[in-house]
Amino acid sequence: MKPVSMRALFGVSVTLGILLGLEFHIDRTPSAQAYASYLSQSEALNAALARTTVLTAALAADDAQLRALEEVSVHARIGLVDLRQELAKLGKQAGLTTVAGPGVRISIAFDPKLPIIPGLSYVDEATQLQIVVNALQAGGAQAIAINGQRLVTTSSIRSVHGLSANAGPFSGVVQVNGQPVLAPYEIEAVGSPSRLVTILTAEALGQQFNILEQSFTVSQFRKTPIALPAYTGPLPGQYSTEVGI
Amino acid sequence: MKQWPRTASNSAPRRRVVASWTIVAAVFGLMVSVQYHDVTLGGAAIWSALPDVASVSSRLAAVDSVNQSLMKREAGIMRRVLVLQADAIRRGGATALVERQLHAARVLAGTVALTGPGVVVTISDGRMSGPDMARFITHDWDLRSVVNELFVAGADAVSINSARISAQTGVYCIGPVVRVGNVRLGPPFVIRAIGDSSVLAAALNLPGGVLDALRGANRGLDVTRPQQKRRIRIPAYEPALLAQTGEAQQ
Repeated sequence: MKPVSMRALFGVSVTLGILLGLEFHIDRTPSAQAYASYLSQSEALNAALARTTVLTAALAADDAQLRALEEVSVHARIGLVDLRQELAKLGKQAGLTTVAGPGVRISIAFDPKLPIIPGLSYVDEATQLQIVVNALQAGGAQAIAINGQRLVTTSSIRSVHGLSANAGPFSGVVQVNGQPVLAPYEIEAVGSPSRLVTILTAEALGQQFNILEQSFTVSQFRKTPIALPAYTGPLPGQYSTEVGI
Repeated sequence: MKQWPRTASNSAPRRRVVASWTIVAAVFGLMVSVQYHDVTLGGAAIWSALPDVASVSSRLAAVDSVNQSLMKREAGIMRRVLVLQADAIRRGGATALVERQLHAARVLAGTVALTGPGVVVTISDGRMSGPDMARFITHDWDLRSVVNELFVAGADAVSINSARISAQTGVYCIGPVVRVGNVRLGPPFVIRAIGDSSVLAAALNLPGGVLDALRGANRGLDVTRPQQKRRIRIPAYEPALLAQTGEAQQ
């Protein structure tokens, strides 16, 4: 065979190889499916990365706790200081210390000047307060208090009249953390004022209260911090055992 | 390249050489395309406009592996911590008091997973359809009312599916799913609570109580009876990675 023919054959063979490589490697997944898969995998990756951050922090906290407990078992006094420091740090997350920062104050009061809508049933007061609290939590509030009762994980808001109470405004008794709380209500929240106001506006909570003859006033605290008290109610943990993260 | 004389006796070896070179060249071409595709240009994106799912999947597997390793280490440390905690409480005194307060603080902050007795209740959407369909799906408010009732009854911890409830957890409808804290959840919603299981079950079963309210009103929601369990596991709370604006004060 002539050298020219050999070179041509070589070129054709290399091209054939490239084409075969392409054929085997081209992704023939439908684009919609590929994008859906990509989005779900990306979301899972973001969640996994967030989990790494949480796990790393938990590991550091557990390590500190272990060192403190080991210290206690050898040098009781020094170890106790470490444990108290950890308690102070954890207490902030748990709501066992006061907290101050930018936030909002929502004042809810009976206002007879507001127009009455005939035939409208009043909503249970505890339910009304829970709706506001839930919106604030969804808006990223870090701490919330109702009439000075700081809300923690195990807090509850309950009307003693039951879920379907049909009473007029402020005629019921609301319990927060098991303690009676009387109207007018002041709900205070630490968090980004703009985010909190946005979610309250988006949920049209002001209008919902107004048609029930209740004023709903939101004050923002941007430069001057709003201060919330610490939770002082009974502590949980009687039934649960820790098992790590 | 060596030239073979054109004789009948050497035509067979010449054909073999040509065939060999053809195969070698084809394999070389295949290798070039695969290498270019997988190494130099980083995957499928060069050949199509489709996203590179394989690359994200491999990163996800790597991060999951790191997380598994962190969880194993954490579990080992936690086992040792629990033994020392029990020792400290048994010895009594100031250390025992601080340890009890620390346990309560960890339960409230949600920083550790918990086990204990409790109840499980499952809420599934109704099966009706039509223009009034919103009535038959489970809403944020339905879940929040059950959670509130469980805490009224003295629950130590509550979760909805994989999401632990904390003081910062909002339960909020976002389109087709419910966002519980930072986790998006779809039905069925399995609510677990650790506490005195008989008290929790009684609170939920109260005639005209929160579960009756969900079952009623012609909404078609499927709400199970609370099942009492001797051991329930509730995961730790996973906080949002948002800037904190509040400063704690002692």
